[in-house]
Amino acid sequence: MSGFGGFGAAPTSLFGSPSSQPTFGGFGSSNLIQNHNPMKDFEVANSPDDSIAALEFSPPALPQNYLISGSWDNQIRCWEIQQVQQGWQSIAKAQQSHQGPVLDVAWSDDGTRVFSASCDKTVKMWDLNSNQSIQIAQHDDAVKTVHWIKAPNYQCVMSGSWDKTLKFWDTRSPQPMASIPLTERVYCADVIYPMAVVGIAGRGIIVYQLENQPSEFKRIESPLKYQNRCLSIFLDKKQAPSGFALGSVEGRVAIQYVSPTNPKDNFTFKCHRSNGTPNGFQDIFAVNDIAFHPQHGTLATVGSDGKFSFWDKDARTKLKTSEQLEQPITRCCFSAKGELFAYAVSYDWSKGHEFYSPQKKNHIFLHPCFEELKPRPKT
Amino acid sequence: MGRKKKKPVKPWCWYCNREFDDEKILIQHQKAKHFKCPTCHKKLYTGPGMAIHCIQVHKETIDKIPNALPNRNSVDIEIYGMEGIPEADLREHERQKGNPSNDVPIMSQPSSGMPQMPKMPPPLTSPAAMVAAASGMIPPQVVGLNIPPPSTPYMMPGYLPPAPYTAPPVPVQPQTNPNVYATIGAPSTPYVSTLPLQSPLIPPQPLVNSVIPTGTLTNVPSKPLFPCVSNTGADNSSSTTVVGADFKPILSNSTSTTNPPSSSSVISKPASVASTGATSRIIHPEEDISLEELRARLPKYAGMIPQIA
Repeated sequence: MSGFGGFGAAPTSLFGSPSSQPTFGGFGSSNLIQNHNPMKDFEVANSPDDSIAALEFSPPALPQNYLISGSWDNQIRCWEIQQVQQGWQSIAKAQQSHQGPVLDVAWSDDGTRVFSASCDKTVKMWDLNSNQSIQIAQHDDAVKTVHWIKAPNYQCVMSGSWDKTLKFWDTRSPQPMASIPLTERVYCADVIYPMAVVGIAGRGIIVYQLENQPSEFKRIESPLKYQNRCLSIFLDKKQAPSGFALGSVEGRVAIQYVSPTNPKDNFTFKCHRSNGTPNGFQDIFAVNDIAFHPQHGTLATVGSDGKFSFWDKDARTKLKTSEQLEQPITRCCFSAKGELFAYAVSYDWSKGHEFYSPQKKNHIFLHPCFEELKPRPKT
Repeated sequence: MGRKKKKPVKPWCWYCNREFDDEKILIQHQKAKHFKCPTCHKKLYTGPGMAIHCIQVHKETIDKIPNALPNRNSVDIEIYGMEGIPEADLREHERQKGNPSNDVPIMSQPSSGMPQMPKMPPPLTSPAAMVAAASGMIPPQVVGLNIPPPSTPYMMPGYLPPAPYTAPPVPVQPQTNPNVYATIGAPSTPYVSTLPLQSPLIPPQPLVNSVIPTGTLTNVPSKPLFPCVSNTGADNSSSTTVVGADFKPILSNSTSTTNPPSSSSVISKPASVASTGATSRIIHPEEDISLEELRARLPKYAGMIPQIA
């Protein structure tokens, strides 16, 4: 990966001076959290100026850890994450921009390119070696998801949009290799070859199989009663994708096997809800993102309640819940080796625009997690 | 009076009058002291839940909650943390706390059950300890008993072979294990108390379907781990597995199936939650579109989008 050093020369002050704005009281009306980092995690330097909508660690092909974010300030940022004596430090490396908010990012499997989906209706490909960014896809509405597909006989970029299409791009042609019309807008998607799963508005879920070429495999109505919000494919013991976890806006996650051997394999669980006060409401928050640990197969969920939780889906137990952060956690991801859990703390619009405060600083934290995500030992 | 407000009544255990700094710890205490099955040491969620467990699993009748004060040992009253405490006892306790002689708070009841109370570990105060404690609230053996870890999924040869899809939907849960219900339904009254009467003969599917939604919305205390392990999803998928096995697009028929929910799905969130008679609300704008779509409408963001076809 020596060639990758090309963009490493950027100065650390690339993203402008860190915001000096003070952080105001807590998110929500009832709590007053002064501490912006209750988990005492390592903060990523020069975090985006507006909410973070996408977050991805570099793939295993790269020896180092790089972190990419996409945010509502139209920017895609890249940091190198290094282990130092006191823990972890981030070095801002480079950034690119779109004409509109960036809603999703994805790495190519070799770690040389980053794809970004934006409200400006395009997908861009950022070549990290040359630091060049070009448009590779076009939709008729904002692009909500982007994924890299690496098959033995082809490779392409999959983009899902609010224009109700799913398109596949070979990155060189302005015309898509394939365009699949959908009944609804794409809200969430995930790809692990040979499986792709797309969650759409109206609680629809479509599973595609990607061998030879993408083709629809199965449609499922969401096992959850509320809007699809996030989706993550998980692997079985043979490292083949066998199902997915789906999070809804109603604090609930479904573990869904595509071909369950036993109907009881599928289940749902509640999460990201406030502890009910004796005579008040229980607040139920959206599940904003789900990520599976690359080694342990356990999973993390993050929510509008400003907490992250770790779970063991096989033992059906919770491993850990974080303290409450100042703002919702919008995205999360694991590093390729599974030693770090990154989570983005920023406003997610769950309380409408009235609660949006552009002055509030956005944070990305790195949480060492390898031990915490070990599955519960079987007894 | 400002001073009084400043010191709200701490969470306390109805069974033994012990006070706690945190309701989480209180719930742990109750599970460990009062809701533990005397026979197999399984920790249940409520007193009635434990009684049901003992009847169904061990064929034993429990008439007293263990370690409880003599007048507070009813197995019929469902208590979960501070939930379900009879109003009169609540007021009595508050009155006791309200009086200035705060050094004898425990003796609000004439009975002398307290001296027998085993010593509890000191309340956990560090966040890490709390988390650890909370995540340990259900011991592994409980989970093992209730829900056998799904070892089967790993036997699956990927998701491609079509054979499994032709399997008929299997909505019926093979065995109605009372433990499952005790755990699922524990914190909320209605079905814990009614389920045992229904017994294993009731077809489980309607049961699951009706229990899960209401249960989720009425369960005021959010329990610390997979609080609602339900199999609702299973039914869905198994009933739709007939399609697509040949990887052929199935747009024509599923268009109609996916459309209705989307067109009719302007879920007025608070209304729909309230309609279940529950005390919870979903923190989400009323309109059932994604948060990103709502946000993108803001001129600040929308203005940046170039108007190209």
